[in-house]
Amino acid sequence: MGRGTEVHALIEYDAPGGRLGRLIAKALQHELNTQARRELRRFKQLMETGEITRSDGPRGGQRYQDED
Amino acid sequence: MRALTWRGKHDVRVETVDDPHILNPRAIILKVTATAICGSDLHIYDSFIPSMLPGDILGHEFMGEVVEVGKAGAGGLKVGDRVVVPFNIACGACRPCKTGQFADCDNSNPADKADISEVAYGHGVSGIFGYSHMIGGYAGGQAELVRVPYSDVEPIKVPGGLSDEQVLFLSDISRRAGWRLRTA
Repeated sequence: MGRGTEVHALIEYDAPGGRLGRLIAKALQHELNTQARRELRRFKQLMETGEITRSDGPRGGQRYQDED
Repeated sequence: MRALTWRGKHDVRVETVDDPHILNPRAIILKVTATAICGSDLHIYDSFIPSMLPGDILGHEFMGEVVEVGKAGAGGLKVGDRVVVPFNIACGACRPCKTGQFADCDNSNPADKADISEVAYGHGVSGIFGYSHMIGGYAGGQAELVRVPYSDVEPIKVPGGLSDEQVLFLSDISRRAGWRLRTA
């Protein structure tokens, strides 16, 4: 059985704000490398399963915010 | 609905939360009829599992009655069917799933959550119900209702005549023990 198709993305860009800008973007999870990795993963999900996996769902917490 | 939520170390509470909705076509919504507390839930209770957030709904051993079916049809499951849901979520389509390694499913951990497990373990892991954000961030089944994604792969339809107590442990320990015996 084959192991599937490997997809690599090579993206060249200049981060706004240079090194510092890139660090801030990374901390906020908006850094291009992170975004590209996640988009590739979503692309794989869509190709293989027909949907993009999501887990957002009901959560608790609001009710007790004031008490804690 | 009412659900058991994690608030912090040694602090879990039953509270009212929003009902779950179908997000993707292969999902179902279950009305939970029986659920168990796993030894692994104690690791969360004791705060040994990273990436839990206050408000996360617990529970990965559960079963119930189908109350809603996504557009893709859930592999033939119908409203009213009773099903047991194994705890780890499998897409059924990636290479690990096709070779029977459902616990290593490439696709059931959402892209933004899988990053955490890649950093922590060196590779991504599949999604699991109610077991932290690095393992999918899914709401668990210690609740009145739960959404089950990729419902055409793992859920087991329960034949009539068997009680909840007779089949509930197929959600975790019995099924996994059988799996280990087969793959050992």
